[in-house]
Amino acid sequence: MRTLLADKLLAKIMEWTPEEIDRERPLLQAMADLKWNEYQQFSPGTRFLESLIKWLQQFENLEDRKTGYRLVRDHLIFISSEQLAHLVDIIFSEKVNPILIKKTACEKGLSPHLVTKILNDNSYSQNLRMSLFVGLSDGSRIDQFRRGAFLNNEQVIATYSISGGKVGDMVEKLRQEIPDSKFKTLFLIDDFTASGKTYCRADGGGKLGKIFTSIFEPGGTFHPAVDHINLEVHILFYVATTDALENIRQGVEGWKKKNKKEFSCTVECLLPIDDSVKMKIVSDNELMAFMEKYFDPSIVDKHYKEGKHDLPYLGFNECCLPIVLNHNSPNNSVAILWLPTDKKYKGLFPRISRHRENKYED
Amino acid sequence: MKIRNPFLLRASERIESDAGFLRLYSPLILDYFIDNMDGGELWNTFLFIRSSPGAGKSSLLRLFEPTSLLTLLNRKSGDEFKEVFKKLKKLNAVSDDRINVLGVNLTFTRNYELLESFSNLPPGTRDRLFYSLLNSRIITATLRAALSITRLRFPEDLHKIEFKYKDENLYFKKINIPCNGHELYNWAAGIEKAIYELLDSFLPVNPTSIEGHSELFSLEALRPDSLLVEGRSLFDRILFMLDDVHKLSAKQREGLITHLLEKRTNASIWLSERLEVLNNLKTNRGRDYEELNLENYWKDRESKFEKLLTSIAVKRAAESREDVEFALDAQQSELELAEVYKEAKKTLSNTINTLSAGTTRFNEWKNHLFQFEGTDQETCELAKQIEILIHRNLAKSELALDYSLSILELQEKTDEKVVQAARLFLSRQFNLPYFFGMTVLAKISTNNVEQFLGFSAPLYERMLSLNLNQTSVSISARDQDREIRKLANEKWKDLNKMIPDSVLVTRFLENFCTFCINETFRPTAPYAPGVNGFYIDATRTIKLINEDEWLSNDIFTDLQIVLNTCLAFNLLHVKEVMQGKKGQKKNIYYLNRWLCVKFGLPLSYGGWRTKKPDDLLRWTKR
Repeated sequence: MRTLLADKLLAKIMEWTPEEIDRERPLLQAMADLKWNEYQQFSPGTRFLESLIKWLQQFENLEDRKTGYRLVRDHLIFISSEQLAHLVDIIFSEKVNPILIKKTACEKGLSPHLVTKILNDNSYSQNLRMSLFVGLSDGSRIDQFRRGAFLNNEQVIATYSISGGKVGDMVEKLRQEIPDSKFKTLFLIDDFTASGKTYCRADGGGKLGKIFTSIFEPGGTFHPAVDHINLEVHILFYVATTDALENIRQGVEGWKKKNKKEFSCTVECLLPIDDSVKMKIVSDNELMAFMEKYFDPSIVDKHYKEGKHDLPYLGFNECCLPIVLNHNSPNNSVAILWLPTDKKYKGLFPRISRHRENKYED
Repeated sequence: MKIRNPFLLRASERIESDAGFLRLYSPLILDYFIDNMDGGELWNTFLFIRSSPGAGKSSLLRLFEPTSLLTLLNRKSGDEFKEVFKKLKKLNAVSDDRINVLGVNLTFTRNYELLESFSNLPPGTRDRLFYSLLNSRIITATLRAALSITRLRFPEDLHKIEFKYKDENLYFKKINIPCNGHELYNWAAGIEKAIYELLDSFLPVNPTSIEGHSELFSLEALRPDSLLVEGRSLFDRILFMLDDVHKLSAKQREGLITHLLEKRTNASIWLSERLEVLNNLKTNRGRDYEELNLENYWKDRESKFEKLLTSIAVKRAAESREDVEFALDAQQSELELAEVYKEAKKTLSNTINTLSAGTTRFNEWKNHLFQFEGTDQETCELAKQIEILIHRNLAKSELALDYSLSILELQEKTDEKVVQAARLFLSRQFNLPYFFGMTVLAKISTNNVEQFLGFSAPLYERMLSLNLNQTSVSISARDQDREIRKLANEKWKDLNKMIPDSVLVTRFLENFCTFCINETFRPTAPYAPGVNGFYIDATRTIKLINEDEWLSNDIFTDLQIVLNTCLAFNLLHVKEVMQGKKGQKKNIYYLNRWLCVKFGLPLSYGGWRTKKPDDLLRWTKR
């Protein structure tokens, strides 16, 4: 019954004809049931349709509501929990294992296509065991990854910020299986990146900067655990924009150059999102005007300013993505989609910020 | 759980819950069995159930499965289930406190056909493997069904079944009979597994290691008295339902049918298959087996089919969470079309005047029309009828006496066919709605339930939308017509994706329908209400090409392909008529009614033209 009331209200505020209702309602209901309803930051009692109605109602006129609806209907990319779980399930076989197979093949002088031979070789098992898997955020779902890949608990950590004692334990366990060994391959896993700007800064900032510093600086947490000479680092994302991947690669090169360190480092993702998604929005003048009109500048804080912000309504670093993840909306997406509930305009999928404003800052 | 639009739920295979399936199922087809019951022809016979996809074969078989019957027995007092229960009780499939029939459903898959691809095996070996696979699957399916009907667990409770068959013919070579269900299952599963290994292996497997069978003995061996559960015989008969027989290779299918007919077992066997071959038209009904062609059954019972569809629509609508009834307006909206009819009246009057200028023959008719006191719609219909009759009269080659034809003559010449033709011509000329109302929708469904659901789903969606807008949920005739034509056009576009040889088939249908349009809309309406079928006259002519036995003549390969495809995918269907010499039957190929909608042709039967195979072959070319 409640769905029916919501549908009625939606049809009313959109002033849909019966033909339009025929067309839109099945689509909305199907998508809501499939994934949009599972957004974790809806307030209690709210599901997608209710959020959509509240969102559309805040726009001044029918034309703006139709533009807003068009943004959702034609551009929104919602990555559901199930879809992300699927990516987590396949990343080992799609990305990690081919790297290990290639590495082993190289060491043994074998052709990489002799997969069974390589997998049966002791070197492969050793290379796998001497790999360390690090989750870069809670979105990395490192626990699911570990279980799906049947990895040893002693080579998987959920966060890069761990104690030296824990790292020591892990190395000790490794040496019980492979004497005098260290971790040779580092897999750094995260769920999503849109700009990649803050991942690696030459001054040691950013997640990656901190990890590299920790690896190469004597006294660093990872320093005793890692084979510095033969180190390979592989940074893996489930979903990433092609721009972000490039920015991260440049960031890593910048760090290596500044710190005069050389090691093999690749940056990959399972589901790349190219420029076309952004260009489709940016080339639509009506959408651009709409997003500019319904924007609250108070969201531009010091974190926001770390990225490009001439057109702040396009999201952090002007990424202009129409992406929403099931657990939260990235701030790289267009602002009207994720504006928090305490702002002048409310987002369709309101966001919880990682960086909470300190009310007592001057 | 209720859903928004239950008309979108298709195919019984996809309705997971038995209660949900039974709730939506309309059991009118069971009347066929009830009627045959008196003649003792229902059980212990061999029955073919044939139709094109979506006519309800699998639903019918599902009804007799143990889980469906158990669910029904548990809910027999419920309003939604009473009718089904009553009919099944009449058939002795169930009684008030037990299930009398053990339904064993085995659906054929394409992997039987794979056995034929082992060209290195002699044909005899392939046949033996085929029967082995079939026997083992029938046995395992029967064991499952027996446990299901007694609410025991599979496979944990297999040991509670006793198989006490007296193996006088020594069918069971590698197992000792009598045995328990567990042993029987292991034996059968072992055969199946060995054959799977053969099918899955890249390397040659020695087939002599697999136990081969030369006949389908499982149907004879599995009897109510030979299969005891916890020491008791719990059902009166076993009904073997072999579904999708068309998925076997031609050789396997023919071999199986021949074998079953020759065996003359007392088992109740139903074979269900799609119409995929032209040669199906030559079946020998009644002599060796019964055939239930679902579409033919409904073809001869139009009003009953409409009743079935109405029942389905009511049940489906009741499953919607939005409490909207399925209601189709059967009348045109006179207010909406007032202007159109006003203009049409003027146009038709002018046309009649122009036609009849220069003669006084039609003066009485014209006066009758001008003095007619009906509504604008009725006046237009009368005008069109008169226009057609004037054309017919003027077209007569013999010299006519120029006296005024009377009103009585007008009434005599105005039969139902002229009335229907007039309505069709009117709708085409003035863009008036033609396809609307439940009776028309039932006709468009062409005796196929799934086709009905396909057309009613968007109509019901519109009803839901109208309900949302708080207007009347009754869709106007014009909107119904528009939606139905739109859907027919979409189905036409989809043909490219849905059928093989689509280019050939669509070309043929387009050419045929163009012919039908030309014939139908001749001003004299000679084949009123219109043409939408053809008869193939393959008698010898003087022409060079021998058109006899065109079915096996390579010259007509394209035509064979087209007709086979059209029959298999229900684009054409065949109706038998008695015409010509006494007792002479003709098979008329009619368009599926949705094609009539697409091309604006009438839905009635009876309008067909005779064509030579050569003529039809030309329609497959540009």
